Amino acid sequence: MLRFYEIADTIDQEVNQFEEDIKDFVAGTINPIKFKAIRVAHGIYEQRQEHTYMIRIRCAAGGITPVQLKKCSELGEQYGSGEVHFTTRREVQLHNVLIQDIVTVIRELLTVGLSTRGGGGNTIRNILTSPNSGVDKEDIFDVDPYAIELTSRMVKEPDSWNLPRKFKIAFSNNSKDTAYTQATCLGFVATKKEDQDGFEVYCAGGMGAKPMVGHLLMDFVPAEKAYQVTKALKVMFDKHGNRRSKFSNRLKFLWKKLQREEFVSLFLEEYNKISSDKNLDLKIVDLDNRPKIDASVKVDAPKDDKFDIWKERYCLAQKQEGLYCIKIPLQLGDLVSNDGLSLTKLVELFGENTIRCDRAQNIRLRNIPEAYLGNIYNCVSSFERSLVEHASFIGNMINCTGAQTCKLGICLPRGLSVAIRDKLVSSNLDLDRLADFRLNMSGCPNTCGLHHIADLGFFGKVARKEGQMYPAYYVLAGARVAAGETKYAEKLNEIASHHIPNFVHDFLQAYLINAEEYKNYQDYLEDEGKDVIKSLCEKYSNVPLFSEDESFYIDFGATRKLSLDEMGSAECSAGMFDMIDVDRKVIRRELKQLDAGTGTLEESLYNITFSSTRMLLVTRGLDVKRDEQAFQSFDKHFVETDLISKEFRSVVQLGELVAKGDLDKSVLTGKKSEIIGLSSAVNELYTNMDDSLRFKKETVVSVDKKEEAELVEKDYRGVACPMNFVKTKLVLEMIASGQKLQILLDDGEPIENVPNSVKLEGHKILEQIKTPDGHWQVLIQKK
Amino acid sequence: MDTKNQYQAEIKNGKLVKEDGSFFRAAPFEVRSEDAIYTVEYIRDHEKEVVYRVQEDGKTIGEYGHPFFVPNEGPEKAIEQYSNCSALFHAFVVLNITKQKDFRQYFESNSDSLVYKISQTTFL
Repeated sequence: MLRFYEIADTIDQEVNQFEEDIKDFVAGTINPIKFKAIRVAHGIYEQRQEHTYMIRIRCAAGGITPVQLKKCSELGEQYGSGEVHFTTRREVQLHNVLIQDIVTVIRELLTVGLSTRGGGGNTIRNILTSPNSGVDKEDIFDVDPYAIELTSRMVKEPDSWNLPRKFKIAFSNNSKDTAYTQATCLGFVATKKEDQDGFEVYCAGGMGAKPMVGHLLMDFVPAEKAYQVTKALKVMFDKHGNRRSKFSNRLKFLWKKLQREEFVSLFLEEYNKISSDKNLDLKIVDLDNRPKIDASVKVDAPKDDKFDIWKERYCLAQKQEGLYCIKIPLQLGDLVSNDGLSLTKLVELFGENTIRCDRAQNIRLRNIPEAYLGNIYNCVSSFERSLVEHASFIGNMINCTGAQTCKLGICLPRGLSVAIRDKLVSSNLDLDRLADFRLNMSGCPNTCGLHHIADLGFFGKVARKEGQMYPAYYVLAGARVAAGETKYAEKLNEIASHHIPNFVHDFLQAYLINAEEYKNYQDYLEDEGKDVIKSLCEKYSNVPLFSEDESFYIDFGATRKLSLDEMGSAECSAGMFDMIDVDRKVIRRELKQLDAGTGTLEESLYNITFSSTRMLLVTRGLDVKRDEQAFQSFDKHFVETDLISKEFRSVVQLGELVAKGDLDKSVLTGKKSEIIGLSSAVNELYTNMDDSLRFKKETVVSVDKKEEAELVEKDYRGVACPMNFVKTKLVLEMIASGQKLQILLDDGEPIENVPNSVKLEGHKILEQIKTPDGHWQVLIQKK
Repeated sequence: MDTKNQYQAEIKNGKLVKEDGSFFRAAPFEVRSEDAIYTVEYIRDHEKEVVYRVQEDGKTIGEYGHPFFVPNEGPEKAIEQYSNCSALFHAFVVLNITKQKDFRQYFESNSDSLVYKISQTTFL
């Protein structure tokens, strides 16, 4: 049976634990922020509608078998929104799942070899490839088996689940780089050197709000060494990545911090340890792309005369003679469950290796004999939501879900996409001339809609007219994608959401009129296209007053005026729990090693002592730069205050002396039971921590001892996330209900996150003013 | 609190006077006043959208969806239309199910006579 990855043996145990965590969350013994950190690593995201969940399912190389897709369709119907959603990360999602059904869905998926593990969180994410790898006439070689084997290994390695931040990997089948390797943490581009299969390796790319193009790391590595490269980079990232700030800890920021020489040197330090170990080489099993069809299956004639144009638009001859790959354009990436069932019933006749997800949120079929194209056409043109009658440009438009379900979304790109489609299909533009055009939209600066690699792209923003908010987008254009030559789209202007359909129409019209004068779109853009964009933005700059046209202030697909009330960008508390989690995991790992008698005894004991003392410092707003500070701060804030028994003071002091270099770690070997006791005491304290970061043993500060000033002022300039939030939270705990706190914050992440986190805790933000020196003054009223 | 329930609350004269346990917004609960017993469930409707479904005597009296989870017609009309069910919508405000400002403001001056209990049995 074909599987696109193997699942770790520990999965049942992990799902059982998750089931218990869900029960605890429902019973109120795990708070929502802790629960978030647990669930996202299982690929479970809360939608904008609270207590309604999205389940993300890993599809390595974008592959999913007919049996697996059938199962997803059934589960979508029974437990979700009645659809399977295809994402821009070439995986599938189920939406509108209720909490009581999450574990049932996960277990059902496991029965067909699908897993949600690592769908989110700081993990190795879905590994991508070029969508037609293996069937493409321009393949250097098929890269899908490399993604499959690498996934199977990565999901079994414990350190894949606790990285400083998410880690994305992609493989392209040739230098056209259709997997966008330079826009990802680690990218492999197939190449040959003296007839040997290998990869050009790129790293530290990424999109998001601070996009960076990936850099060449190795100009050639033998293909089977892709594992060693990945492992080395992962270990290096784990050791040196920034775990302190959730917003600047992707691999690209590590490159920026270290610069090329040091980054490459640290990578090679790890790579050289394992590169020659042949046992680690990837063992590749080729995927079978030969025809598989029972001769008794009846060949159906196409049901209407639109078949020929459909074939021209959506069917592409494979390198395997007589076989075709077919693109099925999905409306907004959604496959209605019943359509999924009819499609999989048909496609399973052609074998297991027949379905790929693509990054434009469409389905790609492969290995379909030409004679059966009519069967496929009849099936897909009967879909409840079909786009097959349109030019492929329409199905290629990419949009994220935006504010419809995503907590970070500002605008509604799904609604915008429909409005653009309606405008274009009713126009006389020859969209077939734009078959490869990338029109990509995201609902916010995050890049789920791939706007950075768009020919014409948009990302959502809030605009204001006389104090009233209306939906708007930044306009970008001119991305170029090719191995070693990738360039992100340039931000050119901004435009109100409601003008975009006309804007897109006019721009494409202008391009099509002049396209033949240019070698390609990029040349057109450089020569005149950017000016056309700017002048069209000017043409469409009029925004009616709210009193003149309220509908302009309601986004496409929305029923009410634009509002940010439900946005959930508050990551500060989650960041704090992430920091705690780093130490908890070290303690667990080292205790296991002690049990098993593996590792170095003194090393394990020191690590346990250090992590135990550092783990809860963040709850006091303390961030330490050197090891010995952790021991000193712990003694002052936890031992001295009797939160932790004074019987552990001696091991804490020993730890401090070791950290300073005054004593050797071997002095800890005689203190094993005390050290284990210390870690248990710290863990028990943490378990009893409440939402106010207080521990059960702590005396609640009485009102008369609270800060009595009418307005409390604190300066958190220069304090990084999430410590600025923790400090704010601690002060809010000390003041009286209704009392005001004014804080000073840095621009950037602090101002983007702290006020939202404070709001989510129930307090009011009364004022938020940018000071002349570029900082922010935020006035908070305690709930 | 007995082990069967995970949350209980008592409202007298529109004020929360007693609360015990942890309320989970996505689990079924019951609002019991002198006049009626409402059962509320968080479920997917026939269009697969997630809504609060309210039943009285086994009969569905309303389904309320994202984002406000209350009837669109505003508090006065809604209460009149749905069998004078002030306690039900007051409970939605007390339990923070709805953030709709009109309902919140309405009950600031129209809840003095409300007396009811909320209970939620252990869910999972």
